Amino acid sequence: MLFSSYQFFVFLWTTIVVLALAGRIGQRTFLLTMIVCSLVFYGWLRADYTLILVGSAGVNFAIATRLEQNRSKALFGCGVAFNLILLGVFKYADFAVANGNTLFHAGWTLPHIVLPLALSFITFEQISFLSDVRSKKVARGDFLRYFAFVTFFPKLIAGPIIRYRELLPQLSRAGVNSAERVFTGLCLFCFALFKKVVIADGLAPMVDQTVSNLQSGGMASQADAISALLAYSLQIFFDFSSYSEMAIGIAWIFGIQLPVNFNSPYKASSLIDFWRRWHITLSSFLRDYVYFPLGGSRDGLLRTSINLLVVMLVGGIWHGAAWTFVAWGFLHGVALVAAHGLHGTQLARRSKDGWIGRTLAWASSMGIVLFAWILFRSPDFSTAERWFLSIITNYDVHVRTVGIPQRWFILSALLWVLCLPNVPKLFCIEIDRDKVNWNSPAGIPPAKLWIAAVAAIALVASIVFIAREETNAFIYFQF
Amino acid sequence: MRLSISNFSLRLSIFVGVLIASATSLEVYCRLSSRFNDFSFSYLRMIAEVDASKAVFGDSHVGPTSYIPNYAFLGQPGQQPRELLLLVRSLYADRRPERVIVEASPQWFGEYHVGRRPLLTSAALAPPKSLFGVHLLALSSPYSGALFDNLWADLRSVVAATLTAAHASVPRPIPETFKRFKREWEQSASNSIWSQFPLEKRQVLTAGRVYDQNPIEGFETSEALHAFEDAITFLAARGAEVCMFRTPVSTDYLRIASQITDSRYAAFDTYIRAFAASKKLTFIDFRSLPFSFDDSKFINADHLTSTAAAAMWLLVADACFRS
Repeated sequence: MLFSSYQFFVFLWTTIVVLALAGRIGQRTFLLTMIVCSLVFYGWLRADYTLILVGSAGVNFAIATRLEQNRSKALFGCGVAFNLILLGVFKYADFAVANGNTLFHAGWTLPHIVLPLALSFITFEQISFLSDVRSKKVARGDFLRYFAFVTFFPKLIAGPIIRYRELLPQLSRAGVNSAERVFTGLCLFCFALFKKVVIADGLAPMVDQTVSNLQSGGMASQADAISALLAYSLQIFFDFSSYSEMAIGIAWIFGIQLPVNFNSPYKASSLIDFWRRWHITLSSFLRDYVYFPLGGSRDGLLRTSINLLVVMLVGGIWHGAAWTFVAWGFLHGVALVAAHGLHGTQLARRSKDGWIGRTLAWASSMGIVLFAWILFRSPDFSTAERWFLSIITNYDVHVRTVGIPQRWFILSALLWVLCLPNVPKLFCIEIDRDKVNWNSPAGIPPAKLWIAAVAAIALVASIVFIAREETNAFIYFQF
Repeated sequence: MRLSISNFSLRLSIFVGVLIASATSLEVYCRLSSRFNDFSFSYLRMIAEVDASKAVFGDSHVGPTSYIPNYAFLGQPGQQPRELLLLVRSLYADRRPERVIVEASPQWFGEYHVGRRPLLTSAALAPPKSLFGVHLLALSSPYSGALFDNLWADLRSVVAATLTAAHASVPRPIPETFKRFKREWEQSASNSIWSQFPLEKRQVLTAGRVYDQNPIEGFETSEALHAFEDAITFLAARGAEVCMFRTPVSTDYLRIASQITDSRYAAFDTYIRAFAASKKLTFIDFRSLPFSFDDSKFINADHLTSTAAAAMWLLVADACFRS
């Protein structure tokens, strides 16, 4: 079920009413009802995949039970392997078989297994759960709370990737027990909905047409190729950040605070800064559960560089089963290694001094980010190559995919991203998850008067756009 | 606490108030804006509200000119069989038809339907969403699809009209006036010499023509433009010596073309010259010809008299292929 659909509006209101009533009976009833609602949400399109969700949660809970008693490394390894194999089977089977066919000239049939929604996100959450239980950062707790954590529908499909220790303390106080919270959560939802259906979905056709043209072997004019690249950079930001913000808004209706996932990433002063602002919960997962266990930056520049590369390759392949994603991760890894290498040098210090240095640092970082998006969006390397060539070459092409009005639209979205504050900032939400006291989070302050007014306009505009029946699924659903 | 509740009530009231006001404004805009007055929208409105128990279905032959008491006439120019099928399924999903006449003509299967985008789609014919029995146009697919584009275009028109007020922006003529003057011109004894028609009426007719021929917004990426370019490219590829010629219009036409709101004549001019240059083709603008294009040479704002045309085309051929 899409957050940006009429179906979801009905589901959300029904859930609010049902959970408000359930909360009056007791906290366990509330959590049980929330789990049922989440399973309905998850199983809306493919009910059978809820079994995978339930099964995976059951196995991880059982392993965590043993890990709490015995911090066995082997058992922890089994738990991680179980999650990775599950993900591997559903997400990477086709990729592995296709590459096997290429390598060994074999004729193995592709299994074409449909990836269950959210499996990539759930896998990381389960691994962090096992790791935190093993390292005694959090108690395993009872199955009801744990299952409520796994299935909590606002963050279920595409994050933010939350840690068990962040959600568990909140579950005992969760409930639909404040009209103010419901209202604030809905206002945030309206802002994010506008970002998705008006901006992200408005940018999508320009990107799709250009990429489709390139994929079919054509070239794009320089203006179209650049416009499509900018459009995609903006589309993926508006699309994914809007999903995260909708999730934060909906969760807050039920009294649960989720971590912020985007902090104006295109305003980042460097590539290192970019990864502190883009998909923050994924970055911090990779930092805490991959980079640090590998040794982080403790063992010299070479080891740090290798660790960074590994982390970014994991990040790349996590996004999708294709070599383009691996290349995207590798490119970011190499660039991050270079950025870390420059860190603390005379050049880096100078770049922080004047506005020229800061602008150059920003421009070069964004250049890398934009260039990497070509790999991320292209279905194959030849498309990526044609896209890149179209940008640097002024081809005499008369198939135009991005018109003048669309370019104005891109420019407006770009100005929004570069000049306006982040939506979580507008709602005065704490961005830094390390500063949030997850045992008793401050939450989201009541929405200001002007925010309420703008949210109403955003909602009306979004509803009209949804009526066009051209709404796209969120980009991150495929991951 | 009291203050907090009061604050919350105020914010909630503002939210609900703005929600209702903005939704109502959009709905009213859909119903009143002239941009939603073209045939396709009125046809869809009619379909949504019509009693089709007795009906006639067809294409343009079944339209406002045909009339049988108590029958709905449901046809549009170039209506296609797939549209007919969707239409009858939609109309009679929950009610029984009584008497129905269906046009049975060969053009149902005519070649001209190929590639034509249908107006009647499942989304366009979806039951209108209603609130207290009122159909909400803004939430029906064709209206919601065009709503913000139209709003944006109107906003730009208002801005452009304000900015060009000093240049005496020319409004689109009222259709009735335009038709009356056109009829007068066609029936007048001297309808072969444009300059002999009263100046103010000439200007109204010219303005109407200028608005009608103004390139559409986004013409640079339109299918029409691709087809045009493909045709030229094809001719050149086949070895033709292609010359492009901008045909003459009256002085009033040129003046008004730069004064109407949303004028895209200048953009077209830029585009066509760039295109000709990119293809290394000769481009001749009528203004560059050694010929006096005063109103006495025209039969209307954009067509020359046969005498003037004969003289001009010789000049065109000379300019195009003089080498």
